[in-house]
Amino acid sequence: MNHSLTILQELMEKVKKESRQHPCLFNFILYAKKEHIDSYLTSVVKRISNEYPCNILLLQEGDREEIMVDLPIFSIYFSNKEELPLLLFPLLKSDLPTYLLFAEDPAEFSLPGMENYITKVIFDSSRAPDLSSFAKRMIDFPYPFADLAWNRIEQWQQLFAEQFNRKDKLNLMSRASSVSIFYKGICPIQALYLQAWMAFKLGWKIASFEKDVIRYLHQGEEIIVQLIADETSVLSHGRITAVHIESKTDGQMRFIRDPQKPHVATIEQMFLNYCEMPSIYFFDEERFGRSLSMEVCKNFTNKSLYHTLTEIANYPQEALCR
Amino acid sequence: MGQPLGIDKEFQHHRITNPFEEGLLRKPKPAILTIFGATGDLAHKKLFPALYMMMRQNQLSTNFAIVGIGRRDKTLQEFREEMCASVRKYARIKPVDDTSIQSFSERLFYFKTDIQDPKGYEALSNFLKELDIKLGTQGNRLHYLSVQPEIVTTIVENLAKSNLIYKPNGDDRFSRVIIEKPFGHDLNSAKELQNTLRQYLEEDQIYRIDHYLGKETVQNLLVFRFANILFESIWNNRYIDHVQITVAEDIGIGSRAGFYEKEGLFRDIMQNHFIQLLCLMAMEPPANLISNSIRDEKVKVLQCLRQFSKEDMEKYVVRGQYTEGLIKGERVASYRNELNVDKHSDTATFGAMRLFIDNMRWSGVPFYARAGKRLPKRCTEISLFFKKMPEILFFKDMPHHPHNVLSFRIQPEEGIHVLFNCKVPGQSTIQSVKMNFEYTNYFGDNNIPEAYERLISDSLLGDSTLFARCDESINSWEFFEPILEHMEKIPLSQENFYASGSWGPKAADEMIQRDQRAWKNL
Repeated sequence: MNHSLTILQELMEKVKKESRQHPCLFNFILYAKKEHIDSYLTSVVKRISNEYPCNILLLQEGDREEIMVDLPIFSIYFSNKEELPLLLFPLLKSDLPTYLLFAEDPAEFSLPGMENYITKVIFDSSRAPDLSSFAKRMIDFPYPFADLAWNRIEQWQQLFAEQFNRKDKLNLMSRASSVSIFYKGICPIQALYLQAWMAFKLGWKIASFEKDVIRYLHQGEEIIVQLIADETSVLSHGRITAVHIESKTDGQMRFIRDPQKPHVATIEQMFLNYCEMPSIYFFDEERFGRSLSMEVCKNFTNKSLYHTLTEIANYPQEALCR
Repeated sequence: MGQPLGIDKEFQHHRITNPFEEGLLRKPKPAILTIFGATGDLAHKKLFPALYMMMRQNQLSTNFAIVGIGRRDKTLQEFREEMCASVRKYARIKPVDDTSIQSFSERLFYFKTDIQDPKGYEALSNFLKELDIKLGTQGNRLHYLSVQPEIVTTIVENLAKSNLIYKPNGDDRFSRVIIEKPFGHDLNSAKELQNTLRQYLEEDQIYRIDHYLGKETVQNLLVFRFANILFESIWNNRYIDHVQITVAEDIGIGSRAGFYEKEGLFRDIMQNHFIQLLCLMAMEPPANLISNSIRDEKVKVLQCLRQFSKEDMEKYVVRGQYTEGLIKGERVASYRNELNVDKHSDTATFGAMRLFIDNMRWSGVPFYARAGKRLPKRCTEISLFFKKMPEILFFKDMPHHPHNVLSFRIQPEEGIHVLFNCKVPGQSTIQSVKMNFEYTNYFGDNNIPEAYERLISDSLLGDSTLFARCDESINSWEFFEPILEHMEKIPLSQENFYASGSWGPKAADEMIQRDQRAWKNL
């Protein structure tokens, strides 16, 4: 306990030194082990803090070990979780919501004594051993939650929302016979999310699940979804690089991110009787932080995420293990 | 894109048809935007940069084209280069990257025609149909008429004759028109304009743009009022002593002499910008956030405006015209010495008035408005002055203690400020202190969209909440016409003139002082 109080005193001194009043919308706590604070995580926090003024705190288990992050944050070191409330309470800005980004395996989540002070928990399901166990855990999770992996597919969802605004395109989609989702590297979580979201939106019912091949049924017809690893893109691991949709009766649509300029995607549309000129879609990476912070600021769980996880919870766990 | 204030029927319908849209930010349908007056100042400085930002933030469909219409000879290459240069110069977020400007440029087209010549519209129609085929824009049309008000009806008639606008016929396509103020010169011409427009368009196809309504601070007025019980509960004549609305500009008329000589300040600012601010500030809560519900409430405010008696008009309507003076230390010319202004012009460049809204909420609360050119600073603000505390306790010996004031700074330095009384430490004195909320502090400079981004986006989505409806315009004219008629009968006298850089003629101060009040120090 003495150790905690010393830390607390040090922290309070630090707070006093920087006591100038700044605008602040919420408390944002990042819980991560040193080895997991990578450039991605730093960029997430940076984007949130660029978007909104907030009180950022970094929670780190273990001994004090400075981490070079270019962020205006307080680092809090703890050796035992029981100490956490004592360390955290004085640093939380009062009357404001508190969002926790738990960047470890969601199965390890527990913050005793903090339950009533956390408004929403943000997980990163790519830290979970598999998406199915994450989904099962989240269905009964007692707090509002978000998932970084879900937010990473937001631009694809926006693209779909925009593209399927015409009857001919929607027909093609709803009568699709195959969907191929290409992703960078070895982690198909975002690809899984995207196809489960599509299935939920279109009312497809799962028929079978083998590794990287999911079969759905819709109005008596089979839809085969394939998840295909793609190494050509400069995108980070797990990101979706292309989606091909084919309908035997209506034609095909392809959305392909440029391997060298991944913020640019080409859209190719070939219908049975006509083709459209390829068009360009911008994956606005700048919006990523924004969509996450918009998500963070909602004190409830995204409905689509919840329903998609409900779908995924039905997948056989062994098929989803990496 | 910000959170929508209103969702219209089309959008609700649209949402049902595309299952992927639910829960995501709304996106416009494929369309072609034609800009009449594409080589003008507004297009260069505001419209094209706004469209670029919209594209960059994926607020435009990928199947989208912008066709600039002008009478000058210009190759497509020249037009694209000119517009991209403007975007690089005026875009809200810089630097502009090469890939995105290239993609933006590919969506730009130029069509040369004399907009008064009906023959050109047939050719334009064919040109747009070709683009539909090439770009998948699906026959949807939005026409932005950034032109002199006199030719708006000519363009609309010609657009209609060439089927470039048409009343909704049950198919999925839309055709809409954005028109800029002034919406008429007086009540008769406003009605005439409306009758002509309605021959060819339904009301929900007409978007009367007032860029003030696209400003975040103006939109936030409704959120502030109807999302905070703390303020809504005291937003009435029980607690509010009076309201001041100021729309001040430090600039003169620039190159707009032709327009200004004809319209003057009352038509340019009071009849529209000021009225819109007044309505949003004073309206009752709408039944829901659908555009017509909000606009219904705005119209009710206009219908409750007390008409001026001749006597009150003389006492409580003040006009002025700037003479030479100093603005930011620079000597500036008088209005009558501006380029192309009549040396004996009686055009008002300043206006102040006291008005009342005779309804349950505002009965007895005076609203003081002032607007003008060549005032000391550019500043638009709405301030609510609360009633004073009784002269007991702290104010027993302090009869002139300050009001609590709640202010909305619309521009610049957008924000909300509260003035309240506070004890000075170590003394028994009470001092008014200011609590500030500033948008850029909280949300950053780059996150506040330009008004035109929001307004063009809404017109593509079919959401007319932030546009003036016909009856708003007509009711506003009904209120202002007697004032304008009265002023036009009386030439300006010496007391109407004010030095550039001052807060207007003395009569404006005298008007408010007559009620034992004073203008807020801005």
